[in-house]
Amino acid sequence: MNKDKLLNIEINGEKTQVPEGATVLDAAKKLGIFIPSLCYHEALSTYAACRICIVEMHMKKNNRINSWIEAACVYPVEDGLSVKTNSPKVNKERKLVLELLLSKSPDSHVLNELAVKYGADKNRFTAKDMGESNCILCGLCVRVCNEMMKIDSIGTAYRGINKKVITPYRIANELCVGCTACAYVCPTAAIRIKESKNNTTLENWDTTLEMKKCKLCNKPYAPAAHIERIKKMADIDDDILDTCPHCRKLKLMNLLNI
Amino acid sequence: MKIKNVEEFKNLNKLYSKQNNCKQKMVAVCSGTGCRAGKAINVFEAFKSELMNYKEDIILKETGCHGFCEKGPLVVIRPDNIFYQQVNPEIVPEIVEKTILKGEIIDSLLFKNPENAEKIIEENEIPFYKGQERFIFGSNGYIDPKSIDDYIKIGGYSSLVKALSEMTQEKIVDEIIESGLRGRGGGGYPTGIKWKSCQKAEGNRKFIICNADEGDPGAYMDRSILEGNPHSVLEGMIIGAYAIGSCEGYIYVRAEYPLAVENISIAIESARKYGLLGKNILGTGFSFDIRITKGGGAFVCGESTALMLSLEGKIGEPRFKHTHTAESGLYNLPTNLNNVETWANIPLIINKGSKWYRKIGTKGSKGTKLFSLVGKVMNTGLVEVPMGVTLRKIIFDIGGGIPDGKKFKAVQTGGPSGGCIPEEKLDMQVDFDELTKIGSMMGSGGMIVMDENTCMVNIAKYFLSFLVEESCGKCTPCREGIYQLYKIVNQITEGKGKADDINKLEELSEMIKDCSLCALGKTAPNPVMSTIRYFRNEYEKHILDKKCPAGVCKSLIEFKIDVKKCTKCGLCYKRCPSNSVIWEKKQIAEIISDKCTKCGICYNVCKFEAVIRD
Repeated sequence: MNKDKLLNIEINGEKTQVPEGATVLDAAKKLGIFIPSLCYHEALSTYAACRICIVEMHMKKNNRINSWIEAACVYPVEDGLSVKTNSPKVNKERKLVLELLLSKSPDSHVLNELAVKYGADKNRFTAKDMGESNCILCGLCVRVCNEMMKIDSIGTAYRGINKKVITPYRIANELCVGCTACAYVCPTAAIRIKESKNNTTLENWDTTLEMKKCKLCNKPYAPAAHIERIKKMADIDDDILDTCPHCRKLKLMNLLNI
Repeated sequence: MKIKNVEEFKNLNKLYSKQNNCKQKMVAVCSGTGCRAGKAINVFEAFKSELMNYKEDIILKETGCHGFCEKGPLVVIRPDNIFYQQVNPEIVPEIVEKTILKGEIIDSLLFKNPENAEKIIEENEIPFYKGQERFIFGSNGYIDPKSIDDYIKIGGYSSLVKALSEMTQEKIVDEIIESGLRGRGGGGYPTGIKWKSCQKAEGNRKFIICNADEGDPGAYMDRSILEGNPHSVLEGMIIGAYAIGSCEGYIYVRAEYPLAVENISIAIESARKYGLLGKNILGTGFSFDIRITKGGGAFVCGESTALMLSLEGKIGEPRFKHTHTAESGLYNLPTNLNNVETWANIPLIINKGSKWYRKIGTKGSKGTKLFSLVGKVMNTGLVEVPMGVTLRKIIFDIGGGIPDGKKFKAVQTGGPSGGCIPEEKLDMQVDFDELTKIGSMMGSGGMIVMDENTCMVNIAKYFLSFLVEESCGKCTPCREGIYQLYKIVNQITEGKGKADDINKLEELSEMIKDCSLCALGKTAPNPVMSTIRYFRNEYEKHILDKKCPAGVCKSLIEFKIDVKKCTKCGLCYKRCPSNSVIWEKKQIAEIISDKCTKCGICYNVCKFEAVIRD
């Protein structure tokens, strides 16, 4: 792939150039054109599963114009590609996708906002689990755990309509450090975290972790396993991480004589 | 015995053809999975112990599937090709004594032509075989799949020798492109083009994969090739590996196919022993070896990207493939994946040449295709016909039509994501493009025949229930959309259909087709779309009149007694498993509809048509 090579693309009539390898979603962002996305995160690998970012593509090939629907988050721009992000077909099908997603997570704030935008009816379909899990299976939690934290504490299990994100064998996974990155990236707030004085509990993963107390003020501030993980990953030997963010700040200010 | 070079292989071939005696007596006992279910192994054992009593030189062979599974266990006595059907172990001594030793025919074991009640002796004269052209499947009835010598004797591995000694890699790929061969696994992508892009792809490590994850309900073509003629697949793969420049191959086969796994394992082992697989094949310096991976039985793992992830030990989920797997497949390296039947076609093309191959088939689809003909058809089994043969010929001439004098209603092609084709399309030519045009697909070649007693809404429901289970669940349209389709169709069959259900089904289907991630999802609405397209009135009857015309959907039917026809025999009363019939001697029977489970036994047992299904 040649990143210096620029490709021409037209989105909703607006023209731009993007380097080879850029996706349609990248190009749309460059133009400031909104395409909704849920399973996409710029820090993670693409998954192309939620299908909310579908757009209509047009491409001239052998004197014929081919049109098709594809997910913008993964489709690499081809020279001469013309894209419509809100054609009647896209709007109709995106609305249906949204309604199906809403059946899985009817109370999600993000989904309900999109529902207003695209005129989706959240009560049109009922999911098999009646939307209890709140999970739309976007896979962000699994990818962040695997790719960013390099822990792989959770994964998807079962097939089809029974697919779920779980820990192996549905028991607390001792690999989990309680970083709660999974909950952070979840678009539908399906991962429930409870923090008490001494513990952090990740309810979905049936995992409870002990909190580390600040060396200076003795206040619990993060799961001990999480701190150990960061030290290992970032190769920090310093005891700076043994203090809570507040004390850390004070310490730093002292050092800098502020 | 290791064959060190091409010369040695040719000498071996000469030796075998010298030994070849066309008058040699041979008993071929079909031991494919279908016949095994009918105790073919006992028949084989009976022959073995019986033939020990005689000194005459008779070869006994446990062969792979012959195709005519309806009439199994099958025994063919060669060289006269006497065809015996439904053979049981008890009759074996009689067969040996009369037919094998004296040449007498045992009338009761012959195939009876249902049209004129004539008995047919010779295998090739049976209508089921007569209409076929069996280039891929024909050898099954002659060779022992566990014997590499048997395969070499019928000309096996000579294509490989030809490819290695006379052809360049480019020439082989060009020959495959020229032949017009298209992938037999479902998509129908031109095989040669795929090879070319894999050959050109950059990378010093390339893979060859044989997709044997055949998961369509009712389809067993690939299984029977692997069971009956595994070396043909190996030979194709070795040729492909040489052409593309790969030295590692995988066969991804379902764990549910134990016999196929056994036979292909033996085949790999013996090919290694003969120096046809492994390091420095036939002294040419080309090395290639094959490993077997057993799949866990997920339908979606037949999709190429899902299969490759499964091979890597990851979850078998399709991924977006803008770059073809030929360039970036297994471990993101160039990978050439073909289906079992496609690989089995390769030796044939190399041997006979692309010019010969191109003569078979239609403009866009060349060669023959194997179909597994199942359902409501007289002769179920595996059928190999040239592309372009009509559905009518397959179902009525080869398949023998519909049993019990019933009427044909539809045929489902292409597996669970295929479509149902109605009677008015029976005269269309079967090939990749024609099937797609009418809303179905070739798929891997499943063909399920349905008669007038089949409810098309119920059929759509069946295939949807399969797909709900077998969708990998990654993308929303496929996972949630198919489930919603299933729910709507299920409600229709329960008499709870609403007037706008058909519109809702069409709207959802269109979206699933457009928006799904992989081909499983993109084709999943086919059963619904094609049944609505050709049998819309049946949907309307279910929804508006709350009636199931075929009498299948239990919630929509009722059994009653025709008072005028009832002879007071009480058979319905005796057979009813749920005690829902009131009857006393010399009294007319009565069905209590509240208790009735609608099993239909009374309807079926009544000899006087006095039970009405409404």
